[in-house]
Amino acid sequence: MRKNKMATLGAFIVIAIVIIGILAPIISPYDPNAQDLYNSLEGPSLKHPFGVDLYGRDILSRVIWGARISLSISFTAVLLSGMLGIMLGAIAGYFGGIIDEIIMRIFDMLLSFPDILLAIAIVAILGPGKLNLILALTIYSLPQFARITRGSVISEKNNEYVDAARLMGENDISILFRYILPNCISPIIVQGTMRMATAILVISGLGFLGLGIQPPTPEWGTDLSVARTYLRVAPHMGIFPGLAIFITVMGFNFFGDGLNDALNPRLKDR
Amino acid sequence: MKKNGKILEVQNLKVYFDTEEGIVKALEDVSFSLKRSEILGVIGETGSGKSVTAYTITRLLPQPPGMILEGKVLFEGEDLLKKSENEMLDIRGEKISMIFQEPMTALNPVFTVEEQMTDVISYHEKISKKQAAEKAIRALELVKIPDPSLVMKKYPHELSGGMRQRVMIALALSCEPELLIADEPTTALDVTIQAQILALILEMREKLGLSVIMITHNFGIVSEICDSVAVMYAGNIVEFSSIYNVFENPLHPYTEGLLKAIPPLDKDVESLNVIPGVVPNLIHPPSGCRFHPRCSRKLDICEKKPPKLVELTDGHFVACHNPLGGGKR
Amino acid sequence: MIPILFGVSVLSFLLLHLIPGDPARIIAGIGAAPEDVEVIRKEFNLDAPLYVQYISFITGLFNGNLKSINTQDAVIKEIIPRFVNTFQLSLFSIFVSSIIGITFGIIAAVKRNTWIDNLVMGFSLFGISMPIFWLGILLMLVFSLYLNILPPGGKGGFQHIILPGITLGVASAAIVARMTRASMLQVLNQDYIRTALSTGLPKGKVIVKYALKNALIPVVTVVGLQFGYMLGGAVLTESVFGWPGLGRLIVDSIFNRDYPVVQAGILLIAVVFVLVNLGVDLLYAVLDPRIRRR
Repeated sequence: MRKNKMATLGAFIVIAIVIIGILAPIISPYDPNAQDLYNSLEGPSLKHPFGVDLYGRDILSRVIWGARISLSISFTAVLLSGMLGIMLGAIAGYFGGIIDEIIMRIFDMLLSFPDILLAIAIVAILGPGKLNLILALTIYSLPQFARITRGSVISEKNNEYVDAARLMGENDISILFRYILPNCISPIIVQGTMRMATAILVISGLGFLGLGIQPPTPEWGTDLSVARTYLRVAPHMGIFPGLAIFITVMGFNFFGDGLNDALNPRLKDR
Repeated sequence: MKKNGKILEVQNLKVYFDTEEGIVKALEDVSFSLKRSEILGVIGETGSGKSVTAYTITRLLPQPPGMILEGKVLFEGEDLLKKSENEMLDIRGEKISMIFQEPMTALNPVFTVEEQMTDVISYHEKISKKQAAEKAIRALELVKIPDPSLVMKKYPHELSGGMRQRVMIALALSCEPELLIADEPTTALDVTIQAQILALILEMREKLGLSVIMITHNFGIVSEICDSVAVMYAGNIVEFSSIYNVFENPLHPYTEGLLKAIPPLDKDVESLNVIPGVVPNLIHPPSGCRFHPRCSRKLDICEKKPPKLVELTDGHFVACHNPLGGGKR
Repeated sequence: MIPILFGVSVLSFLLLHLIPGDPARIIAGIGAAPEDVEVIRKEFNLDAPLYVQYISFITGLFNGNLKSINTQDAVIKEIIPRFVNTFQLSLFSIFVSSIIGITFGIIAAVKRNTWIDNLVMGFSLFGISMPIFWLGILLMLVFSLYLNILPPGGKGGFQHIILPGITLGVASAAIVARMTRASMLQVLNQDYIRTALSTGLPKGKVIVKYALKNALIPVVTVVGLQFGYMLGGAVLTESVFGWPGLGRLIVDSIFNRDYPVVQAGILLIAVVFVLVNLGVDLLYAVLDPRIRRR
């Protein structure tokens, strides 16, 4: 139905951007850092379909390489926070009691900061740079994964197959990984897609504030913050990197939404 | 319009639903009538189309996906299906009211009983809120709710299931309608409350001359309070007459099957008499008579031609090519 | 709630000490001479045990002893006016967001599965995917640079709050619209709506009075949470439009290594966020009589 079309469209976009990111060194028409000060701030032309920026660098190339950067960072962060979050959430949900309390309290405290601020605070502590960004994103995404896993585990652990496995002598860890977690996969995957979308927004947001990837590395957000100063003379600088962010995030959101509908059939709107 | 004549006549209703899985032929040919102050039971299994009939009469059917293809609903002589929505607003609540199965969820949780009742009353009768409140209290007294002024101020979740059902009845009767359609009103209640509600409905008929359509799947209820009964199967009325006729002398094999399926209280039985087969799929219903795959009296014509509802004996209608009682057509 | 507030204040305080390295050196900066580092150590009492520092942090915040490194003014004198600015912006934006979001959500629910519904849902997905700072830049391009009818930034008269307010508001409206539609659809399916219609009340009245009051309960929660996010998360919008808000101040202070301001600013926002969440919970109880009795 309509949702399926959206999911496929989203998948298309995501795959396209991933391919662009992977093939960046090959398909990028110019070196993203190659400067050409004679032609600085020129608008879109045949030579430079997206125009050039302040230093004469080709914006199309920077956008292509930006995909590589954003995707690699967000993917790593989401993977890390996913693994960690699933583990913590599963432990909290399965064992309950004090462990659950402690883990959830810590996450509650993390969640009592509004999104951006948490990321900013972490970056403030660790300093800007690629590695720290991944770390910040991982911490930032942890609570959601943990919550979802914990919820799923809690609702699954009271099922009879768990009792059956226990009777057969399986130990807890084994039960957790072999039986319970596979049943919790679908909400986790959906959450993973959504987290990718958020991660890209946070990366570019931090970049825009100057707290993310540092220049001259091509990053969509960082490039946009420079663009803002030169908006009057070179509006094209402000359009294309932002468009890239928008399309990528939309792709992930469409895909995640469609996936959600497919994996979690709920009562249809009558 | 005769005073003791027919208050409602449903003629050849045909209602289909356009859904993703196909066209659901919910009502194929539904006809029955109701006399003033009569209590008619509409009995049938789940999915037979009883509720759809009720919603069609009050025009509460969502029109996509529902489609009223044929038929008439004559209320006091006028065809309700031809009326505009504005005209129907004057009918619902004022002339025809409904009560439903689930008392727990039938009332709005964020408004008090008083607010919900006075809203309806003052809308229909164009009186002040204060006068409406007085009317509401009288309606609550009518349904034997203790301490009505106290109950008025309460929220639905503060009342028990039986009380909520009474409030719903009070709400339905607050503007003195002529016809009450009760869609399985006691199914979700326990047996003692059920008896009270049924007694209440009987009393309303005595006191107010209320005409009632009682939709149920329970023959016990039908035998207790109904004067006449219409038996529904897979979107058709298959038999329709007074209770006496239907119980003593069922003409349709389905009716007979239903009556036989009730285990007797006075002797032991080895097994229950079930009607073999299952209720048909309404997207692809059986050809001809929809009951034929399960019928022990099936003839060849039953597969080809759907039987029409005819008056076989005086006041006793049946839709069958091979009815019981020897009256072959 | 108190433990959370306490935890939040501890975390804010610990910010400086979580940074790898010697806090005194961090404050002094990379190229500072050792004597300067020692001066800073004395000034900020960095030798004292942590809990002592924590207490002086909290007390200093309130009595003005906690000073900004850059301006030497009491931190509290700096962050309060900036917070007020952020508050104003958030108020305007939540207003925009509620009006657009709730209206669109209701329309989408009532006209379910028609083109209007699809349009609204599409707009909502767009809004969630839109990077806020890009939206701001685009709006600035159109309204300030091309049409020249609104100022590109800064604070001043009413026209200055329009662009940032709409930027922040539209992004939030997407979420509110989604929630409103979902809630409204759920409510419209309920039995009590069927009851209300069967008593002959016109559809319009049923929607506006009966359905809405029920549907708005979770929506109000979302709006409240959005407001909380805006208070803390308006930093991007503030940066685009040069709006002198608290978020902006925190970011600038990070660049200036003005840690007292960073700590205090983050603490303030987090506390307000917790209070807003609490307020939303209370509001829920007021609106839903089923919860009230507890």
